[in-house]
Amino acid sequence: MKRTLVCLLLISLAAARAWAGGKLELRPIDADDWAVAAPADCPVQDAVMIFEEVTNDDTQIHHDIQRYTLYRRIRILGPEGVAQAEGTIPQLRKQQKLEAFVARTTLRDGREFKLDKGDLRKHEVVRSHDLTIEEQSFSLQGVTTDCIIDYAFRIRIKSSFPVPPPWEIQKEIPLLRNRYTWRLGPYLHGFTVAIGTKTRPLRPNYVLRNCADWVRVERHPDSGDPRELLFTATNLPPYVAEPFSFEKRMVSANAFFYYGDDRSTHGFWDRQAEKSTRWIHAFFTRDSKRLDQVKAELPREGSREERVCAAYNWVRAHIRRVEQPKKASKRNRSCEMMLQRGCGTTHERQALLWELLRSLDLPAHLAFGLPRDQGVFVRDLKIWQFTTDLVALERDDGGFDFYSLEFDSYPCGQLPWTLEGTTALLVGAVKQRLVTIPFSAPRANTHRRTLSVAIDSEGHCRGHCSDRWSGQEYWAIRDTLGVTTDEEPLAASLSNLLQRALLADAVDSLRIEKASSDPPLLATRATLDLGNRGEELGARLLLRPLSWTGFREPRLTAAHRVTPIVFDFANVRTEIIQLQLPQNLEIEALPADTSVVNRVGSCQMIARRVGNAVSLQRCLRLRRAFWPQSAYPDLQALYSEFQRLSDAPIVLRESS
Amino acid sequence: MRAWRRGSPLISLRNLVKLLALLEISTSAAAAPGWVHDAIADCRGRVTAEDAEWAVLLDAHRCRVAAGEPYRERVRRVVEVLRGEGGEGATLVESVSSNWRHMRNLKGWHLRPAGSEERLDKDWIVEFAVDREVPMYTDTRFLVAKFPALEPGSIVAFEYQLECSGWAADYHWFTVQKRAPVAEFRVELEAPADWQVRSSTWRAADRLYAAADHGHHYWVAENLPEQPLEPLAPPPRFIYRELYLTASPKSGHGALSSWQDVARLSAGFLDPPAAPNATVAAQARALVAECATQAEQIETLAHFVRDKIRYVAVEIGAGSYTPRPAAETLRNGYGDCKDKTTLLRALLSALGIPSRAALVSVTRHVVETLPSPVQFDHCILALPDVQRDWVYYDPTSPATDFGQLPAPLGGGRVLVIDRGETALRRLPEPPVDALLRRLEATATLAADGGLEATVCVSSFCLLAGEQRCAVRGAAASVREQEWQSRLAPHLSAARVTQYSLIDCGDLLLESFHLSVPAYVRRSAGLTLFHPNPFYGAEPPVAIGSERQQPIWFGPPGVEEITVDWQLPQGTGVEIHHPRRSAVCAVAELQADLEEEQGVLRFHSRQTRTGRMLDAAESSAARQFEIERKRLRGWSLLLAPRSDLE
Repeated sequence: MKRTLVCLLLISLAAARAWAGGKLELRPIDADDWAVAAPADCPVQDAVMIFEEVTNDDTQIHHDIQRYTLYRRIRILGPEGVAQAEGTIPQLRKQQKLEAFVARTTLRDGREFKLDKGDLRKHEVVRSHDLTIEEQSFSLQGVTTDCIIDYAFRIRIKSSFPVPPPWEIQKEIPLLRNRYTWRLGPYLHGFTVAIGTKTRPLRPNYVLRNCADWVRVERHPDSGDPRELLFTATNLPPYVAEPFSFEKRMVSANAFFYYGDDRSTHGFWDRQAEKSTRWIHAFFTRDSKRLDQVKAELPREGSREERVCAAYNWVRAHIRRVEQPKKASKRNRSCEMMLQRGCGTTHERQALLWELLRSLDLPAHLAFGLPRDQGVFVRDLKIWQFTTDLVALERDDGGFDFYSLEFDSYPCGQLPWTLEGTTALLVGAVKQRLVTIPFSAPRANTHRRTLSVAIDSEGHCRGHCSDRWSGQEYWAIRDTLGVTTDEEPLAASLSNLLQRALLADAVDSLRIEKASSDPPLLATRATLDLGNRGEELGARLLLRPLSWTGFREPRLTAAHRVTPIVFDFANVRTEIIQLQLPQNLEIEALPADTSVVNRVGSCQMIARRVGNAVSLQRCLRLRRAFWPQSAYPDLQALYSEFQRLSDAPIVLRESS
Repeated sequence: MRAWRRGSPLISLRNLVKLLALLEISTSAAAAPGWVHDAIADCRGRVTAEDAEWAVLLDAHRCRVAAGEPYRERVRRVVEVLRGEGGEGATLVESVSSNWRHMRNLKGWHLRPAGSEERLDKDWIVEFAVDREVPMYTDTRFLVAKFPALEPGSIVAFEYQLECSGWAADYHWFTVQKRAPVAEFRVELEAPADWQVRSSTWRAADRLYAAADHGHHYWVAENLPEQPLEPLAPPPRFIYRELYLTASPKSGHGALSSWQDVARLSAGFLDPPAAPNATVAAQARALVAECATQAEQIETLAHFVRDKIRYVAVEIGAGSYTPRPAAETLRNGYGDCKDKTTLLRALLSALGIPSRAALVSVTRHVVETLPSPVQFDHCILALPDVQRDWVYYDPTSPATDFGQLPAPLGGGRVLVIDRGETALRRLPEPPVDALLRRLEATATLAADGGLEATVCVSSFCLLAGEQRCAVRGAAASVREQEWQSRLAPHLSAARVTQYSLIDCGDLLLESFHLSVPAYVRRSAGLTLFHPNPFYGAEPPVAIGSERQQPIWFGPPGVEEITVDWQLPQGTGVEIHHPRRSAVCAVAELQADLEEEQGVLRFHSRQTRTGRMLDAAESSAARQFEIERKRLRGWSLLLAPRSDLE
């Protein structure tokens, strides 16, 4: 949690407000500033950031001092823009100190309202036993719907090793000019860092994300005078959140800066893997009789999958997971100690699984992953980014299967969908260091709902509803219901969920026919009363059965798409409706069979008449969870067809 | 340590004894205390829950008030995790403040289903600042404590002391039950014999047993079953069961026995900052220079404070209840509700127009029998009128003009801060017609089944203000996109273009062009279409027969939809039911279809009073929803005119 808080602080610091140098002074406003207006096609019209200047000054780092300065000028053009006059400067107590602050509101008539450091309000925003984050906030005075505001501040950061805050290039309002200056510490002039037995010089590194078209590197690390790096960006549109996307920090334009050695990215990840290897060797160095006993207990016969599961289940059953080491649960220094105590961290448990698999002559590698709800891995960013421990098992075809003990309710061989399609770092001798965790196939993640209902001559429908969730759909429904393994509350919750989804008058006697997490499968059957679903049309009765099943699929209404489209997982969703008609009614019209198939998936509907019954089947198949922006029209076509079919009518009339 | 280095065996032994004693203490402290085990033994299994993630086994508050001392409360809470990780029930969340509300001696225990126990670690306790959508700077924080890796069957217990000073010590509310089942809820209040203790409840009168004995007052509730999540339920504050208490001396300093006392007390800090100085007076005169009447002057000043003073709340220290001087707010150009009201009062006062501050609550119930300023969380303006009543205005609401009140305040209790006021008053409720939204469309159905329509949406009075706030600052393309999203649930592939906005004060007109490529549905030679492409705001829901909670159809308002259809040449419709209607005590719906001179007109009007319907009347509400469902599915068969004839 602490690490998350510090990360949040750094991100919000970057999102806050500067310009380094000696004295902090606000520059005069000229006529061009007053002439600024939002572009006509810009979704945000009430404020424009004229410029932002950020300076990260590491020149005093040999005195353990780093300075971060920010200067912004914003043209306010309407009532919504007035919100820009509020600012906060978060800072870590003790490590960070606000050195200077100036702010100003300038009106058209030339009047100015100034603020200085004494006008700031200080209060704590986060406090835990070993971390306090304070915030200094300000509200600019005299702000109107037609004015210009400026503010600048400088923070002194006490640090023996500089960690420049990330640069949030794109804002929620349009930005005309953005500039980031990185004044380098003395690292390029002889400072070295020990790496293994060698020493290497540290170099400034940067990674630009989602901003290739906007950012220019004015002064490059390899340029003649590498004491300062300069980045500029111009005419940035505001960031606008889109549905079915990653969160803002992953898709908006931003940049990371850090000191690292000058070796290639490839070399960096190799070294990280080596570090883990060294740790593993230290962890398993001493002979452990207990470990030998465990190894002896494991079956050497059976299929590969059975042997893996035996090892996996042994660790899960015998080594309790503990949080990161604290007083009460000190880090185990060796495998022997872990086995003796019966508890270990996620990393230690995962290492034990790796060792056990190796003892079974399985080609296992320790691995690390980053679930996509926690971040997107950036290969060029030479900083440790992984948060999840895994074990990768090489297949005969050269691919890998992944296992993790970190997710307690998941059985052997299954991973949460958040890890699908993400990058994993493999430790040990492998051909590829960074590999992609495979996506599950759509057919593995299915939800099928079958409604078998009889309709009376008034349009009242009663019958049964059967559901079957498998693969990631099973985990998704469990997640929705917030249940673990208990069947009774699951039945009650499902019953409520169904009633809400189907808008049913009553859902009774829901029975769990099958509930297992290995393989993940949930099958239910319920009696239901759908109420009156018929719409009178003179002497006819109109039914729209596909609107009864309660399947909710994405509505992609925007005309354009800026960011990639991200769904939870690939899947197949099938609805089957079997309608038994009364004797006095006959079918006058059935919707025609339809099918939309494109590169992202398919949506098909089939309607059949069987005697005095009707059978409808709609099947939606999504091929992959991730799609680039270019696939947006296809996704729109698919889901639009799905929604259109929900209205597909069946017309009944009195039997002739 | 020095003794160790010197090697003195005697002192070393003493240190060893101390160390052992410490170890002993820490070992015993690690185990859950007896009251936790007693609560588990007494209360576990007493309440059943179908849907709840947790059950409260014990929620005990032991409170003490005394003259000249802060209010002290010891809280003991035991929760059983039923599903998942127990949701919010297994997490302790308490508001704390550096100034007036302190938490001390927080302890917690986690009893695992397997039998082992762990104690709350300081790493699992974090305080967060209150995060709000509006600019607000406050020293109030939320303390959050949560055990990791909870599982069904886990028992979580917390014990801590609260200490409140200032007004927070005078009035207390306890949530007897939210939704989860509660096995035992207990409040014990110890007050000096000469103090007056008063209580009131919300939805808990029939569940709470109250008693008093020699300065000790008790309120106990047992075996409260789960309150299920039901559709069309009112906001949580109407569902939760609550207990309110005040304790104050019967007389003398600090006695707040009537609303008049509260008004006098509040006047002491609300009135002085409203005195105008020269700058404020000059500003007032400049603003009303062109106003002919006093009514115009009031309106001009009210709208100046509403529009030119932005909302920023700085509730740090005394700023949480004392307004800033009017001149300071004027210079800053920002302020919170009390600052804005104070500035408006000062501006009015500079012109010789008397006014008062008035206190209301927007988040909680105001309990009439328990006079206390702590019950209020919002400040508005009250102007005396000729009938010796009051006219109210909320300068904080950006959506309301002078003479209007925001709809959520309507009907609420208000205390006018005037020495002559002896009781709470009721704020006027806005007439339902003041919340009218009208959608008018001229639609053409093409021969290929496509729909082209020109749509005009008129928002009147209060809704005009709300809509004005909602659309400001957004480009037309954003508004088009918003309408497209709003229509998407029932109009597949709809496109909205040519959005425009006309602002006529208390009428706001939005217009746009709508096109839907395949609006009609064809089924084996039959062509069907909905006469109402717009539906209502919310889809109908199913209301169960065993309803427990009141039914609420949403805030008050009227929605009218009129669509004039131009059907394809030579086609017409058969109208079998020209009218559909549904009525219940709190809502009304009527829809009509008529065809005249080749134009098919659909008209519907839906009215909601905003009031709640008792659970006992659920059958009327169910019938209303069924009719609403029918109306949504209302289809017409499009056929050649020759066939129809």
